[in-house]
Amino acid sequence: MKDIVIEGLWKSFGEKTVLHDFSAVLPAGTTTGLMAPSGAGKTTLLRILMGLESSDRGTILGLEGLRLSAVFQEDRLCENLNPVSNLRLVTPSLSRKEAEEALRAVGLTDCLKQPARELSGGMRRRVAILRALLADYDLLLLDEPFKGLDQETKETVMADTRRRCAGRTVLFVTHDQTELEAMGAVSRLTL
Amino acid sequence: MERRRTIRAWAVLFWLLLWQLGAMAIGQQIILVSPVRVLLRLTELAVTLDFWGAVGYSLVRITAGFLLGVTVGTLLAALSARFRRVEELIAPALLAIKSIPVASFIILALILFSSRNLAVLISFLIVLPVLYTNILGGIRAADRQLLEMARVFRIPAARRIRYVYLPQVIPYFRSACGSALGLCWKSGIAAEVIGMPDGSIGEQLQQAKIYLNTPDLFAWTLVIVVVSLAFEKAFLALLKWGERALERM
Repeated sequence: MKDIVIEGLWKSFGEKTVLHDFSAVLPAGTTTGLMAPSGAGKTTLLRILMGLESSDRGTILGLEGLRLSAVFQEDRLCENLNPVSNLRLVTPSLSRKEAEEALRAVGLTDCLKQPARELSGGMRRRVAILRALLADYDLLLLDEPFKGLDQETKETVMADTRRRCAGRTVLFVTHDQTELEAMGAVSRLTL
Repeated sequence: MERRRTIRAWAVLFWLLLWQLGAMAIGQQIILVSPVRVLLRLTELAVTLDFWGAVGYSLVRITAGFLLGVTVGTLLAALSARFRRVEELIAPALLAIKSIPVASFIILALILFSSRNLAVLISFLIVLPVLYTNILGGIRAADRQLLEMARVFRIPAARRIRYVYLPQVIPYFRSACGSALGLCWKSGIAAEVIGMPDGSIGEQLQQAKIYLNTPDLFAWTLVIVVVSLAFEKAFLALLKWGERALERM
């Protein structure tokens, strides 16, 4: 496992520069927290790391060949598939039983056969988080993953996420200092 | 939410009664035949082998044209969505198919080929642009965020098509098939009326016209309506079953 090194990253959309000579190191096998105000370019940075946007300038080293996993700001679930199928779509090697156990661990017990379109916002969020956590990945990108969860559910899900992320390379974007602490982010970045 | 049925038995009965009263008032079967007479004629026809032969003949050919149009329209839409050059290449041809009157195609086909499979060709030409346009629209309207998700997780192309694209394109496909089914029956039968292939429903309609046989004309028209509606219902039910299968993994 190698560190991911971001050097001198620039990104503009028209006149607006969202990433301004951003440099950082994401140490391998740890969770790195990233906090910044809205509009500071957090999601743009994640999109560049995911390969969905290209930077105007700068380099990212250590990303080549890595398998990515992500929790997007939106749930991005397949609406006609149930939670188990949404997990297995991304991770076919996951057995139905394993998927059901993981879903039960975050309080999703009686909606396992319902299509995603019928789930509440909090349920959908938990499925999206588990989809990312159970995927085979080398780098996990979390973009405000716990947004919209009630406090009790958030604590359960954060504990589950922290446990599953132990020893993995994770970039965790949040607005909430307490979330950063709960996730045990070793290094912290700002934009 | 259950969709409210718009076709009510009492309304159908009202129009049938009005038709019956109109026929009785005119009193000339050659101008307006009564529904009772049509039903009687239909029961006479239904016991003959030729009747079922004609129904089978037209059903097979129009269905073949429809399925061919669905298949080719879907493949071309998928290719056009993937390769812009394909879309540019077939755009003039599709515009021509949409703009040229069906009657011109029918006459051209009769000059070039025999009338035997005329309904296949005409149904195909009617269905093709409807399916192509709708499916291409469906693919283009696919949720970009979901496609990005598939890209980040490196979901293989086959699974991406099956679980990400198909559920989003199916509503467009269903809507296109609903429109195309009605159109292909109307145009297919019109082609048969002009081309008069032996043993087809179109030939029976043409015979009814030549001999001013109004009961036959109405009876065959009723047959066309019933067969096309039954085909449409069966096809859309099959599609619904397919949609449910898509939800299983």
